[in-house]
Amino acid sequence: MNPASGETLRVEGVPWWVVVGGLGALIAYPLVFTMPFHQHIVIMALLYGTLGTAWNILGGYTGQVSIGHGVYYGIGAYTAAYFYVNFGLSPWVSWPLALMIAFVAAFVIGLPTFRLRGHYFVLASVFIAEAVYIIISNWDMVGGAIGLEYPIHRAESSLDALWHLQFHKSKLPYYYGILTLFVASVFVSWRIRFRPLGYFLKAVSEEQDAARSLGVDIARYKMVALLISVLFTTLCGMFYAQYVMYVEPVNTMSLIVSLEIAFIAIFGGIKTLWGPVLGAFIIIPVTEFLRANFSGHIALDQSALAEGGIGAWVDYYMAGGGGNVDLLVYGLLIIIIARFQPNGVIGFFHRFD
Amino acid sequence: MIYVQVALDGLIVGLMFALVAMGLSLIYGIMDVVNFAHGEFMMIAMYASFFMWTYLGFDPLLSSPIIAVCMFGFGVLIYRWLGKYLVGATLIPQVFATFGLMVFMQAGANFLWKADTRTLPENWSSGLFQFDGLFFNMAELVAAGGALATAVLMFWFINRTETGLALQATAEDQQAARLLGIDTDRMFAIAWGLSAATIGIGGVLLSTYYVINPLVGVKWVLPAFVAVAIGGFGSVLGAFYGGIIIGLIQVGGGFLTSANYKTLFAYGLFLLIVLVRPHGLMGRK
Repeated sequence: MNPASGETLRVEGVPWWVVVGGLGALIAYPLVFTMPFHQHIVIMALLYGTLGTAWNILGGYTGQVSIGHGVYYGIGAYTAAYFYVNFGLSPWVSWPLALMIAFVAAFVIGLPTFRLRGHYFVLASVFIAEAVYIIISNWDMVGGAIGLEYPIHRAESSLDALWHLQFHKSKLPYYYGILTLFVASVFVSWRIRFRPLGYFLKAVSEEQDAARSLGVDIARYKMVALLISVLFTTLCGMFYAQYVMYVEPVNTMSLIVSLEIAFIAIFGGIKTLWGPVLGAFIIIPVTEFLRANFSGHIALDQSALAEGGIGAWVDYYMAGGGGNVDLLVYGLLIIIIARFQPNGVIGFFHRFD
Repeated sequence: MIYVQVALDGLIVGLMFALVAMGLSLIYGIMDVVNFAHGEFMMIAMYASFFMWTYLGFDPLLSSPIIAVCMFGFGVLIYRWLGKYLVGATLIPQVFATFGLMVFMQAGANFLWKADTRTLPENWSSGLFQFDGLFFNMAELVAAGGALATAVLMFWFINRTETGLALQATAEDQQAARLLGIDTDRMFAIAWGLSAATIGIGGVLLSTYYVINPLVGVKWVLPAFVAVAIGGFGSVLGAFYGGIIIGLIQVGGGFLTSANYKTLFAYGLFLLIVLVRPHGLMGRK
């Protein structure tokens, strides 16, 4: 941002008209593309864009590589589902509770583990998330390994639907809901960088010891970054629960969920404002498309076997038949980016550095 | 008597964890890289053992050396293509390259062989072994014995052979090792190969009694990370002892509470250790 120089106003390297145009395109998109699947893809991209941005505030700006954000995502999803399924309480009521639980969890997890560095912090975050996963999977009150399923609410009016946050006729309310959250997260992630907090976070991530010797209260700033990150992650969890109306340990707090959240930011490029956004809008459409088109198992019949050939024989007996292509591509993309462009996709655009 | 049974069960499982942990620690010790895909190496070895048994009728005793050699090659290949670029890299590419490999291999196994769980058919190692009121699964006993033998072989290799000593020298100080004329790149490759070969043998041994599915690796490797931490990151002998401790604590904890919660004890121990003694019980630094 340097308006005095007479150049185009830029938001972290991107000209302002691109930012405004992009936002306009996102607002207009569901009105142009009315197919539910097309809307679904962008809803997921916005959801993961928010998650990646939130992750980046901790993992990127402060360098605390957490592979345990599934905990907060899960707390959001489970709180929304639990109160709705058992007491009919809408997320409008339960969100302060979800945030409270998530913040307490963040304190309990953050305080001791922020002293750890490098691999130790990474492993600690994985183990804490796995421990929470095991406890939730065995906790009957929240449905154990099966999880919680929402009852379908037939709304009498649009106000009623809004209160219950269930929309069955159109995806638009979900779309604009997550778009709002996404814009808010990007805005916070952007503004942080110009506040003292942002400079301290940068100092913490780059020269921890030097920052400490200058009297920067490292633990405090890491905690602030974690809380901001947790705020958005928890709200995303609540959104997800309302959107799919089904919460289980595997889809909200497993290791793969925590990894996916971090992958988005890392793939796009951490420590940058636009990296996680770019990551989400590249990875999610690809994987959602693959999941929709290549998740079925190819059925192989006995006659192919009778015709012989080593290929048919191997196919028949080993017969997996092509599930999980989305994760296959996911893993490959991450390996490639880590191997060839550790700065993420955004590293290809030098001017954004 | 029941406590003796629990302790021995823990020891048997612990030897398996020890084998898994040693391979992890070997790579960490020599190049400071945590291989999060280690469990998936084990998973493909388990599938290899399954297919060799069902299609070729190869007994695990026969298939384990073949698989160990193949896995050695596989480990070297992964090093050449990926591991090499992680030496001295920053934390994020280092951690996520192997996490990416983990996701890729799990999804690949799912793609090729479905998520269904497989088990080896009954074989000579099936059945119960009874001794003085204690009961053991014969296959588990054989696997524990095999793990111990593999561990001893590995210790012999790294402590008694010239290559092994060169490996240790590289782990100690790369610069100095290079000055002494040690080809450190070759040492790294050997470390990856050895690590993969030992976990390959581990996978074959495990396949004789444990379920085989694409996600099996994580179940064994996450607790093995704790074993590595107990032993001090990078200490192979420490990882061995750490593995046995993990076996005892998981079986003991599972016995006192519920089998569902057994892994919690390992994770809790990890947090306790890294917060109190960040370099492990036997760590160097």
